[in-house]
Amino acid sequence: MRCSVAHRLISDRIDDELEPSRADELEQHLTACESCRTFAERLVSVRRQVQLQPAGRAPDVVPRVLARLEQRPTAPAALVARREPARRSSPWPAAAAVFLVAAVVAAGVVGVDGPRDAEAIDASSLVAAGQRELQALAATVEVVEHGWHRDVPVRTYRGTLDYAAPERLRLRLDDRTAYPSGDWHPNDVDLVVDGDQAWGAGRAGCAPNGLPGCLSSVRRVEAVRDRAPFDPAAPVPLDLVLPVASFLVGGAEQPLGEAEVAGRAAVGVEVTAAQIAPLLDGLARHGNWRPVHPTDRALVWLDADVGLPLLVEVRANGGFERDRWAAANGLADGDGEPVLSWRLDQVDLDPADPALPEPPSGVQPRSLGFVAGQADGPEPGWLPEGMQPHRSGRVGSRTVTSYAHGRAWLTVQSTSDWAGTRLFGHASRAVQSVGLGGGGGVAYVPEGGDRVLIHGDGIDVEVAGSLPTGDLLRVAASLGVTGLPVPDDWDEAGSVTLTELGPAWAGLLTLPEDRSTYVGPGVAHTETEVLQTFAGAGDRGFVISQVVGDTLGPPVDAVVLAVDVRDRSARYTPDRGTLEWVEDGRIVTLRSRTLGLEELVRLAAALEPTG
Amino acid sequence: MREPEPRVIRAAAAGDLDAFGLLVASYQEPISRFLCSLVRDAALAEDLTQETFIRAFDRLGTFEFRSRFSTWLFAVARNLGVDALRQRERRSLLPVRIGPDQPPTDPHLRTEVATALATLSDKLREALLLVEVMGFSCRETGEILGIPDGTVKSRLYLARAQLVAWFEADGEAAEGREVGR
Repeated sequence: MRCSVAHRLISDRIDDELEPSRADELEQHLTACESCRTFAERLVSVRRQVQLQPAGRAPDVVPRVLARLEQRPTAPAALVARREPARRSSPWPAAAAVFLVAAVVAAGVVGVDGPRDAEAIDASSLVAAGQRELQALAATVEVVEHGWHRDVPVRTYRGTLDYAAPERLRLRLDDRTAYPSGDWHPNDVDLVVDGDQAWGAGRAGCAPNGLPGCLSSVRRVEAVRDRAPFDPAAPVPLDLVLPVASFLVGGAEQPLGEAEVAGRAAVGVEVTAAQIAPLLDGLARHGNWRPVHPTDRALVWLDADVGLPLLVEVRANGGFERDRWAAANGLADGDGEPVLSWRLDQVDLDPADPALPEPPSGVQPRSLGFVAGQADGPEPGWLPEGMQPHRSGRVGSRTVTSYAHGRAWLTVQSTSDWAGTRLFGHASRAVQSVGLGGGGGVAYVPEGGDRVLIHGDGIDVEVAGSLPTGDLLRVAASLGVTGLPVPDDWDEAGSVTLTELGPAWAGLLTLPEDRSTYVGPGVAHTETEVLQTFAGAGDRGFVISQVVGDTLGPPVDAVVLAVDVRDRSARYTPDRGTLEWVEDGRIVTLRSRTLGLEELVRLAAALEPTG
Repeated sequence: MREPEPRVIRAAAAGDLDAFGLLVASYQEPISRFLCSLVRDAALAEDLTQETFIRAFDRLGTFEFRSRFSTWLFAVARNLGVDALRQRERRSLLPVRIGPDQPPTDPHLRTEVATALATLSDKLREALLLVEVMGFSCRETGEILGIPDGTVKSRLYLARAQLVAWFEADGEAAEGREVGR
């Protein structure tokens, strides 16, 4: 036996882990080898010293732990765990329900603790199927907002959410907060969308240090008429009803398991607040609300059958950049502390037609220019099953045709006199070019994947909707419009696919498709730079810039951090959301407004060279 | 480490704070000691000890009595500790690490096993602490760390061999100091 083997076996032996079959062999070796005997003695001696090292007096954390648990907000009592049999047979059924719920809700906050036995939850398929089924909804809403102002640490709202597919919705929230004095005005909110009309009312926000004096005593009302179907200029906050924009693409959901919320079966996922930004934005469109950091953790309990957002709890994320942001915004949230919660109850999926009130008298709605009627635009030869014609008409020379199936929607817009120098419809510089197949030419998919843009001969088209990008492309391909490459002087002219970049950009870093939960990349390039845009669920997204160079420029911001990525040093600038490093003669910059340092570091590690 | 009675765990899982207080009181010392050795920062260890129990409370519902409660709780503590180490490493511009080739020269520190332990990598140190100090078996340590038993045994061996080498080097350094005096 070699001494190195003997040493290993000696170590096993002092743990009583030595295989009996090797005991004799080791004994024989030790008899003959003085050096190994010495090693064995030293090992025992070291062990004794380690075991006898003074422990020091551990601080008593019992009072602080219990105080923290007692101070937690009461969780909704209707949420009762279904997964844990020990709980159901527990002798503390009713009185403990509230705490039990707290345990269930918070269970997923932890990213890495222990084995997580919840199975993966396919929220994307859930909302994709749910949006076709959902015809109507009536529910009560409770919203709790924490940390808005130091004198008003918690604000509580109660109200109703009514919806009739596809674009009639009313959210009403009454602020039930007991304010310190009459100088504070409640944050009552109304939001109504009724097809071609929409209005909302609330008191606009003002600087926290100007409160309460800076709050207006009257609510501001914004009203529009002649609204085109699913007009982004006056959007209907459909993610409040069913968070398709937040979950269709699929983000980085962590499963939380199953539970019962508001008497309905629910599945839970933990995501970042950036992912459910469409939902949070819908809630906060009117009135004054505290800001939420994109990296905050959102525990979302979706109705297991339809995908309704039954319960959403946003908790503060910890970390350096989040703390800086909180300080800059006058907030004092600590890691894990509640920020905002949204809860539906008394859910009725077959309610009477909702009564949608007119805007308050005296308010003159602004016209958005839509005239209902025959659109005369290109018509799809293929539509997803169940899609039915909805509203159609024109806005100036632009034709608008829409289709809907439950909450799912689709619009086709076109124009024959587009004079812009970029693609018709909203697009960023880096778009993804996609072949439409069957002689359909090329189409462009901007970040987010919720639109497909075609530049044709004498016609420009946008197909948009709450459907998967593949369905939008299929609709676009069936319009009978042949897509041409954009003219050289248009903004998107630098858009290429990664494989079209040529040998000068060989080995470019990108996020491999099989590891990506993002749509993209949209790729733009110049002589010296390649830009890739990736968009994920909700507001999640990031950009990779690669520029020829071998040194980072001096830092511009006061606060930068050195971080190790890809076995080299990188620089993180929290105020810009950039992570930069030099690799293989290129300066690589990962940039995101919605992903924190930890996600950027994980992304950096996942990048791989092309080819 | 004595295991708590299942009814206490169930009561705590059902939200009984008195029952949970008993669990905290029973385990705060070993958890604090483990975390202190792992992160080598008493104030941070104290925060992490609190956080361990808060998270344990939140996750008690997932404890299914398939393993010892202490194993489960240490896994929670260990994950928090490792996260904290990673964060500290990422955020530290000048990470300070004592290498195994630098035995301490201060005679007061010479006998401090803590200093020797600090020379081990985090992975070796946590395995050694769990087995030697906390009294977990190799299998339980594997459960806590999420690694196979064989890897635990290898880490224990490497940790011990490095400590033996450290003490030997320290002994020689001490002799050198004696001679030089």
